[in-house]
Amino acid sequence: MSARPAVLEVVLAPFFNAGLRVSVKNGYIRVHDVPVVDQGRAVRRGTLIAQLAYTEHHVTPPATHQAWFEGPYPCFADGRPMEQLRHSDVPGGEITPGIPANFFFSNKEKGWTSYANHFEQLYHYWRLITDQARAVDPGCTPQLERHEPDVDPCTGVFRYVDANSLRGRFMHLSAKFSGLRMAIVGLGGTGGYILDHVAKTPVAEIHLFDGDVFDIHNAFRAPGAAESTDFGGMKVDYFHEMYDAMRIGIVPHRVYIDEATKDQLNGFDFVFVCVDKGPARGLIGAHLMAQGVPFIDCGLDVSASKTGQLSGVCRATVVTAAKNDHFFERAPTMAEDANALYAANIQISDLNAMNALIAVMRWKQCVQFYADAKGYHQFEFTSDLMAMTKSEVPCDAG
Amino acid sequence: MNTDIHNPHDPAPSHGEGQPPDPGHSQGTTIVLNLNEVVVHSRRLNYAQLVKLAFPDDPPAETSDIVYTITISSPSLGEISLARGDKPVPVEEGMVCHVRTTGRS
Repeated sequence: MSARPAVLEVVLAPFFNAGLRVSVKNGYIRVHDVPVVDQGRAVRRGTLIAQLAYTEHHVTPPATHQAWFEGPYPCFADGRPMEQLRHSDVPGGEITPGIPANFFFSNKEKGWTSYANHFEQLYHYWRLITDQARAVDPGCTPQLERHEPDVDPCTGVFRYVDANSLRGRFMHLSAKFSGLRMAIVGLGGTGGYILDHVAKTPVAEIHLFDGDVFDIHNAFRAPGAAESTDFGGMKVDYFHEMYDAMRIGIVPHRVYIDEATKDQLNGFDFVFVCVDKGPARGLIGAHLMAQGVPFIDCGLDVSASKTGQLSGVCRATVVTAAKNDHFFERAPTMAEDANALYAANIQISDLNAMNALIAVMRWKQCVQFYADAKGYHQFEFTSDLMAMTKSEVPCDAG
Repeated sequence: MNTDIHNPHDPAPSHGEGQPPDPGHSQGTTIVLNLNEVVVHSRRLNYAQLVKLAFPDDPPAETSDIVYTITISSPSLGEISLARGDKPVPVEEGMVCHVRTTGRS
């Protein structure tokens, strides 16, 4: 018996008891060897498929009555297609890599409200399809014989199934993140919120670079809720531990990036730069451009009016192979922020988060997860106007 | 540089009264700069002139190593960003500008 979470036994037992061969892979449960009548009235075999989201401790009940089918389109015993099953064809012949399917089914009993478990959900289709097959070949359904379920070990980066991509049926889009090696330089407010969102994509690795300590004030502009015992350790270790609950591949580096450590950024697929110091920003930007590593540099300002109200400006400067000549005109790399000498260092978590979101969404355009209509390489959000400027379009893009 | 500020090297207080009046703009134009109202007497402003209005004590922005993030919300141009070297923008009543250094994280 393959090692599998005990919680799956409840899901799999009814299939096992019914003598059905079932397997679990990539967030899907599949019933194999389903006898099905094709249009030539021959009995063939197909596979019924439904989503199965689970962790070590919890199984999500079926979200819908729908299911997929791999095999010939199911027909009545006389060869007429069973149109009442049909919802749509599966584009590309697979739901997600490793899970082929031809048809998406939607059929339910009158008065249906929900299925308590995956067996009820799939048995509904199994019965409709195999009743017709038995009319052609009475011996086609297997004798009651116990098949040990085949459960694929979870091999992805998440410690449980990505039930969000699964539920929204965009696993094939999420696959655009797979294998990517990311770095976040600076785990302050902005870097923390960038991690919060990048961690929820299936990128292979997220390397965190920061030589600073997680202190009490950091808790008020970091995602999540720190405990009073969380302070005093390294920021990268705090965030590593927090997000390690959900996924593997987070690698803490307890260093600042400087002349001596900059080569540690070589070879990444994408880097988010969220540092406070201008010279560090300049050194990192110049090095990444020399290495041909695309990156987004983030920075914000919060200032008060004479009447004591705040306003923020969040800047994201994007540097890619398509455009990099604007970096030193757009990103502050000076040694001393002259205004910082008399300005209070105000930072607010939602402005950090806004800055992070602009950067993360633009990165998702770069990997073609989100559509990118214009190719802008510079963004500035101003909170008093709730407005965004967009500029720095690559020359060849007009 | 062709601008409507006649003597850009004069000290320019942030409310803009130090500029010589522009013929036809003798009343000046009220804009919001870094959250505060400012009366501007020129027809157009460029990157360096906006920096000078906002931070009169900073070194001249044409040559300074300070990089400012300048955003402008203008009735005719919408939301735009102004970098060093960009052409001047027309000054309009109701314009909202920010001149900031965006280096925090």
